[in-house]
Amino acid sequence: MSCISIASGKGGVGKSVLCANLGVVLSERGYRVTIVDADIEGSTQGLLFGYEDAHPTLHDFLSGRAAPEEIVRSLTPTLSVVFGSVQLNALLRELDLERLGQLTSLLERSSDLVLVDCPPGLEEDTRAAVRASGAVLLVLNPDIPSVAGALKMKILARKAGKQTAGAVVNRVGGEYDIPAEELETILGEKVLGTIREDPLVRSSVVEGTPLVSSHPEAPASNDIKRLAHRLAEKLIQHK
Amino acid sequence: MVVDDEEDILILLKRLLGSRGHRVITVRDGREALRRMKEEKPDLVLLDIMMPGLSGYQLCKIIKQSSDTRSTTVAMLSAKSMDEDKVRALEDSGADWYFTKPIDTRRFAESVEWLLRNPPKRG
Repeated sequence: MSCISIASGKGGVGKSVLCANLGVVLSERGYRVTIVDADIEGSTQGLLFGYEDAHPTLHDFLSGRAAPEEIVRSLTPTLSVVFGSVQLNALLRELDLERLGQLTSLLERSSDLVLVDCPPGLEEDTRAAVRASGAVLLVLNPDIPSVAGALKMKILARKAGKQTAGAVVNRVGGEYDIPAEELETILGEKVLGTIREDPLVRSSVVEGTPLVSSHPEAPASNDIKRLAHRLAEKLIQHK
Repeated sequence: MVVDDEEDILILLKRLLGSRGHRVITVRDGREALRRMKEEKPDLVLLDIMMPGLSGYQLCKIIKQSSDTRSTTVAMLSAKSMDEDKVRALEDSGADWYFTKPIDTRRFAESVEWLLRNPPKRG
């Protein structure tokens, strides 16, 4: 199980930021990590890593215009990213979403972990991203709409024959937060980590540098490091 | 208020929550629940799903659509444990929480007290 979808069912819970930061932490620990920005209509990994005009992209591969090796960008010796396009003409092309599975299979051979940043919602692009992964990591905020979204993502994963790898609760610290132990009960999933709401996340997005690099001592950075440690123990098969 | 057509559940929850200092009103069907809610104005309604007459889903929807009762916290309590059932309760019926039977009594009582103290807000 070395290809994981970071998925939510509901948009805006912070899964892309989490995906980028987890990738950085795990790669800094020596794991070979590849992030695939599979949020076809809302690619943000380029923005998060400061590569907004990355080219060629996943969209070029899915439309048959680029080979897999052309779209994998090595940021460090252990971290690679397949960026998505933010260009309207790329979004309007006909994309073969089934090629996503071919790509992740290839990437798994050269990575300890492939992290797939899923689109929000439950449409075909999300289903293709889940099918291309070995398991699904649920990301949610500690509120009811987010719980419903995570439950729907669990249903989608089950129907696709994929396991869920647990849940991550993002943006905690509000007065009306649902406690993690209650979330575990209603979701029927282990909460692998909670990440505090942190205004520095926004600064890191503006800077184009993931939080764990731009503000390594920030509370949310420390939470993400703890989560990365648990995930590494749980998910990564050493090669 | 506990709404369930199973007498055993009503007795169990009345004893369990009553022993922790809560006043527990027990009701056997949806129509009676709506009538009693107007009189008693409960802080929390625990609703079974599978009941004769109005189902828990229908009753929850009525509670959440009425201006008099929509601010009351409603938690479903059901043996239906599929994720699909939970989504239906939380999204379609507007429930605030979902408990699955059978319950661990101590854990359940703690969760009920959390709901009473700090009912979840929607977004």
